[in-house]
Amino acid sequence: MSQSMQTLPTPLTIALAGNPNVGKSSIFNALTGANQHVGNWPGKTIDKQQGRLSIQGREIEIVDLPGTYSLAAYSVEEIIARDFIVNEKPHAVVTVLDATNLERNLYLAAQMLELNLPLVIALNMADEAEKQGIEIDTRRLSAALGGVPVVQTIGSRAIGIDDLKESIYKLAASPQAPVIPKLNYGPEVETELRALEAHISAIRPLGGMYNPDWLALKLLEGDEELFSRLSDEGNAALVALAKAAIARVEELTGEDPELLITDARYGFIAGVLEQAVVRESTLLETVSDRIDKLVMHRIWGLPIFLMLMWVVFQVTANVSAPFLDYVDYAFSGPVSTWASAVIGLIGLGGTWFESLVVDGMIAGVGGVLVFVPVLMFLFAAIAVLEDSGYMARAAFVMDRVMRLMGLHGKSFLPMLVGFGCTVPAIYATRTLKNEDDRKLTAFLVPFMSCGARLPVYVMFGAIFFGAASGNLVFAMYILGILIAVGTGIVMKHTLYKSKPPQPFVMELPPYRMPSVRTVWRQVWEQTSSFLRNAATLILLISMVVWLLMAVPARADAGTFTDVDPEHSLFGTASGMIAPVFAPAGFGTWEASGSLITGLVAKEVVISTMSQIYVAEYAEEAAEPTTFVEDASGLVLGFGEAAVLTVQEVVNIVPRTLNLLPGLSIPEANFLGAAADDEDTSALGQVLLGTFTPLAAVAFCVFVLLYVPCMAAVAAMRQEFGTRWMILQAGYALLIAWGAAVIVYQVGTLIGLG
Amino acid sequence: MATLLRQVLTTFEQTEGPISLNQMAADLGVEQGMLEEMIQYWVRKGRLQVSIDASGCATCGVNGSCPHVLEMPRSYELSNEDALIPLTTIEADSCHLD
Repeated sequence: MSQSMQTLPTPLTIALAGNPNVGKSSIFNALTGANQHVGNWPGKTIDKQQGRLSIQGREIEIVDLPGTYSLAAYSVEEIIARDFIVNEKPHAVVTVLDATNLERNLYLAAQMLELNLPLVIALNMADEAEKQGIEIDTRRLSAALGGVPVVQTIGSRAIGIDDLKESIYKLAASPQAPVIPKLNYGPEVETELRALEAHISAIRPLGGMYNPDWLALKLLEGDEELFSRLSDEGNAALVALAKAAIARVEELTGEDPELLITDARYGFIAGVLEQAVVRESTLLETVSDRIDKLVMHRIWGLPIFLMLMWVVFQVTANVSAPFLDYVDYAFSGPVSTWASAVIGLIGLGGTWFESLVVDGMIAGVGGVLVFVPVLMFLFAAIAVLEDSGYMARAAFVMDRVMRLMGLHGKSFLPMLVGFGCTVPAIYATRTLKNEDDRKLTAFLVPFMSCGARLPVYVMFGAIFFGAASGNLVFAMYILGILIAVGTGIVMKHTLYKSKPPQPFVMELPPYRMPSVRTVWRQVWEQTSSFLRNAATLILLISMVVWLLMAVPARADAGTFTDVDPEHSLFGTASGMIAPVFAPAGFGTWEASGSLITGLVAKEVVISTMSQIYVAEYAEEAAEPTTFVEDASGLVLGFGEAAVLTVQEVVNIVPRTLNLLPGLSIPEANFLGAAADDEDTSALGQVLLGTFTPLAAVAFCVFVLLYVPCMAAVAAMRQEFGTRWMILQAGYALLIAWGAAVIVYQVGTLIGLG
Repeated sequence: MATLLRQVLTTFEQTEGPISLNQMAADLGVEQGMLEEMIQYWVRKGRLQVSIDASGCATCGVNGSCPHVLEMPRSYELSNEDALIPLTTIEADSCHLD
């Protein structure tokens, strides 16, 4: 061996090639250690990593090529890698393949084989492949690739590196190109290849510069980069010949030769895989496949989706109820009391300032913060479904429904985003390539119930429907979808008659156990954005509403901060539009005022109601408490809320099973009282006296359907212009009012009022 | 007989509803990874396009990503003359959460 090595040039150059993210860098590091230097590829800003190693005294230069999927000329990285291999002619090429994704990586390997260079395959991440049930027979793989040495490596742990070094050494000592089983590109392509090869070999300098077989292949593939280079080098005649050959193949086969050549490579890869790879998943139906058969079933898919959503809203409404009551108690009780005490200590007790802080800021913002537990449970439930991989299937299932109704299937993706927030959902319509589909989908997105509307349903549900509040929440979400779909069908068949949408292919990730960290991160990010909103926008609106409620509308109605709210500026203005809502059962100035401020953001509906109603209630019902009573109430209340939350979690199972006819499984009752038997919140007590259950439902319907918020209106204008924005907002107001009136009037007619 | 690559494109043209990559690979009798490569071929040729993930809103200044959106997988569809508008062109200050 040493004799043959002495005849080799020094140093040897070895190129390291591979797809991106196959662990090429870790192998490069393991081979060269600290002996590396970084430069730039000539004329490019891409790093050129080089390193040296010594094998049995022989210096070897390793050049780490940019990660590429092929040796075509579609990217700068591909051109760099190809130029280096073709022009610099390294003594050997080490191609790193990801053993977990061999079918994809083999495409580059197949192209390397076409270059007829000394080649070593580093089969990296072999351990990961084994974990995934992928068994690769390296000897068979080597044989299928024409005898190319195949070395198993785990680059991150430097395993297999010595074997790889040995293979490189052997190959460099006795360089042998692989005897690749000749790919059959079909008779038409083969004929033209032979002719082109002959031409190339006859052109003296060219035949020496390029491998004629490879160059003929690339020319027949229509490689524009090579066409241009050869023309510049004075070989325009060869380019013309190649173009004529391409035209002949196209005429004879009806296909682009590039497609035929690429297809032959895939055929070769399929053969290699068949010989060398065994997958557990190809022998056994995976768990994911079995679950998919059920949840994506043409008939059962939709009911399963609806049932899961029902469970989500039951969990959201019922499980969060104990903490909702606790936070409400904290804000309406101790927090307000302590704020008043502190203000009293600085000598401002009983002034407008105390009113602003307690009746304005704490009542307004606190009224919204009460619903943070609800939102956290909703965010957690959605995050669990998302992280488990189900949400992608849900989009798939709903896609079928949308398409059945003539809407673009992908319209459901922005709509799904709309369940979180309408604003990004409007922007997400950009995923639709057809402008009409975009406009139509954006028109429908606001009917998807966003997270900000949820507190309104939960509040009215808890007050008027107790343990069944989850059903009200669920019904609101479904109603939003139905209104959107109904509107979509009408518009698609009137304003937007267009050709049927094209189908699409979607990747579906395997199911997995949701990660606590991922779920918590999503819950925290979404909750913190809600809290930021509460600390800024809602606080500001609460202060504005307080000010408008503190200023009398007429001189004889009272003085600043000493005015009946109904006769304040806010009360008077709200009272003017209240009659509009009378047919819907909530024609009071209080309800109207809440809906007006709700135009800014839906959370403000709750904060305004808290400001309007609770101030009066607190004055009538609040009893003085001591600091110790408040503090112990907070501590004990937290413990009670925690126990009742566990109780509600336990009760999810019996409550769900009890939906089945004939079943009556008893529910847990840890403290002798259900957590949601009766809404005892301050706001709840007042609303029970001012709304009927039917009016409450009609109010929720209006909140669901009318303009979501100012930010959504602005987004609509930015994306689709003022006219479209006005049309959508007008339609939403009309449909909201009409639906609320229908709910109330029909409900009254059939005796539900 | 049509080539495998041609069959991939034909499947896109003839499928009536959405189809999972997994299912399409099974129907064509190829590995999913290889099918993805074949799809990429047509993407490079301009006949198919990768749909932008609905989660890639990129409008929000809140830590660079909107907390409300759902992570959705990649999807592919036939190209037509209407080009997608890159989401990255949306003005960064349009987010209402800031």
